[in-house]
Amino acid sequence: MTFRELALKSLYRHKIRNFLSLLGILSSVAVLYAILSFNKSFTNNLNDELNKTGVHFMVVSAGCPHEVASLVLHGAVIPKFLQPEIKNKLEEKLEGKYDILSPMLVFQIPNIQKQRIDLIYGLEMDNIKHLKPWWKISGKIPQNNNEVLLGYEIADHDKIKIGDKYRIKDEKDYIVTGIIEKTSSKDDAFIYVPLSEAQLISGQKNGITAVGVKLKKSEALNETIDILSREIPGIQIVTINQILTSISTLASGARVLSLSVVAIAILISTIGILNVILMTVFERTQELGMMRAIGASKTDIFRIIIEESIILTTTGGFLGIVFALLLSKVIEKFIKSFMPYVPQGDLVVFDPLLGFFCFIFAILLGIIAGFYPAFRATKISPIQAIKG
Amino acid sequence: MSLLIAQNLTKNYQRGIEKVKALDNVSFAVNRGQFIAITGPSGSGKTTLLHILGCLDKPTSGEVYIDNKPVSKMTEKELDNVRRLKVGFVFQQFYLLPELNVIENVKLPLLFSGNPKKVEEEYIDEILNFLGIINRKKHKPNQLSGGEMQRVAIARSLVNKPEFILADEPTANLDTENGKKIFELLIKLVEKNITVIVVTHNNELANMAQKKIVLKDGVIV
Ligand SMILES: Nc1ncnc2c1ncn2[C@@H]1O[C@H](COP(=O)(O)OP(=O)(O)OP(=O)(O)O)[C@@H](O)[C@H]1O
Ligand SMILES: [Mg+2]
Repeated sequence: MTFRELALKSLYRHKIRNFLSLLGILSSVAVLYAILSFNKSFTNNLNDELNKTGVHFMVVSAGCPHEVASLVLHGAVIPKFLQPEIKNKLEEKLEGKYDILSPMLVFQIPNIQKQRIDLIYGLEMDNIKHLKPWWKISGKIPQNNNEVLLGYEIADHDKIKIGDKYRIKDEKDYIVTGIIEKTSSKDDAFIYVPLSEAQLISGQKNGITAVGVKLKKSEALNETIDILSREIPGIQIVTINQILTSISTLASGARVLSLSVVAIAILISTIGILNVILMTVFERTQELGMMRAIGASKTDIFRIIIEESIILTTTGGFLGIVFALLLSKVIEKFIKSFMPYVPQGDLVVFDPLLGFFCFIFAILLGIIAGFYPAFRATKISPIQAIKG
Repeated sequence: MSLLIAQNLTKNYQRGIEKVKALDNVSFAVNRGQFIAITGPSGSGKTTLLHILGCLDKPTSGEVYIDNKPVSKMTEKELDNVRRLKVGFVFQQFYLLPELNVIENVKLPLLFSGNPKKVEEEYIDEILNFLGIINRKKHKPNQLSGGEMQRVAIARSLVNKPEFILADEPTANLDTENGKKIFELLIKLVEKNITVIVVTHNNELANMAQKKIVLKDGVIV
């Protein structure tokens, strides 16, 4: 027999009590794993997404809050329009040293029939493959002004198929030529319309909220931004890197909040383990005293007790990780509900390194929770325990 | 040469403001292979004496020598070793672990660290055979009779091949018949040159021992 077997058998004496405290550790480690995995994937996927976007920077109206400007690429609704002539000025100043110059118009409009607000994203349809290269589209990208492309959620919610009609502003029907496959990001909620049609719907002839630019030579980025800022008044330029930082900053608040919730859950469940282990120490005073009398050293007693605590937390931790992976979709949906912006793709995923970290963390919790009870157990005097 | 010497053992307990003299200047010597019975009325200090002899408790004054080594000079680790390797304890309440079967209970002391003695399976079988519980190996304590449980406890005390056995009222929870059987087993241990010191209330059983130490109010009479 080993200390571990002895500890296991002792744990079995109070199955239900120990199982319940194990559930506490299970759930907090599950949430810990889910959130860490989410955070890691969040940064990775965001990086990925922005790198795939073939745009170097966005031009928006000056005075627009920086954070909102960052979200333009992802469909933020900006109340301030750019001057219509800005596009021409940009073309002029860039002197053909660009690959893409994509004006866009994002706005919201009430949909009385469906009792909601429609989000309209107007852009030149040819630019879609540069701006959102990761999109998988079933059907076709719209070619005419009476055609639209729908985000997954819109189509799914209204049970719309390719070829169906979609009514905007309660006055005009558009043919749905394509539907974007699920991206699990805000992109799913938009209606994509050719720019000129979007301008018509919004009532802003030549109105644009932003222009995305890709240069021919990325080395010229800083220099170009300097020139543009100096020579075109009333604009603000946000680079992809700044966008990345802003979104991360926006998300970090939610991250701090979620991690503090996990910290509290872990604290509570660790105290739960400490409590049940301490209870068994008190209940087994005589038994532990007897062990001392037949030759167990204080170290032996300490090991027997701490082993029980570690078994509880590692089992709970392991099951917690498994649980987090099994329920990853549900957990992901929950976390996304309070994140300001979420990149596309799966976020709670199997990550051996992270799993290993959480497992080691569970062992550590076992040592922390078991330390005081084990220490108390070493103080049990054999004489008091076995007084006949 | 004596295996165990008790020299002027005195033990005082403080009970509130009152001082209780549990042992008062007790001296005696025990030779290897002796069978000693300690008797006396309740509260006379029998358990106190046994605990001091087994290094579980310290006397207020006086000294115990084991193999001529003074116990008061031993370190914590040496005391652990004495308890683990030289002494075998048997208790009135058996103290078997309920979730371990007979063989696991018997082998429990082997789990504890710093065990230089090698104990073979054959030796354990030999003890179980000797105690008549060999066919009970896989049973849990709650499947055993009181007499059988005490025999398991004796087997556990023997597993580390101790030099002496200390037993505090090992028959108190057993009927006369089973109590007598336990004593017969203890006598057989003595025949194998193991020293046995047993505390008992029962005069008839005490008379089976080679030497009787009778305590009254902490003094040998
Ligand atoms: N921890 C203690 N604190 C105070 N007094 C104690 C303590 N332990 C024992 N005593 C007292 O010391 C005396 C001797 O106790 P001990 O347990 O040695 O008696 P005993 O001979 O074993 O009695 P019994 O036959 O009832 O088991 C008793 O008067 C008892 O009340
Ligand atoms: Mg007693």
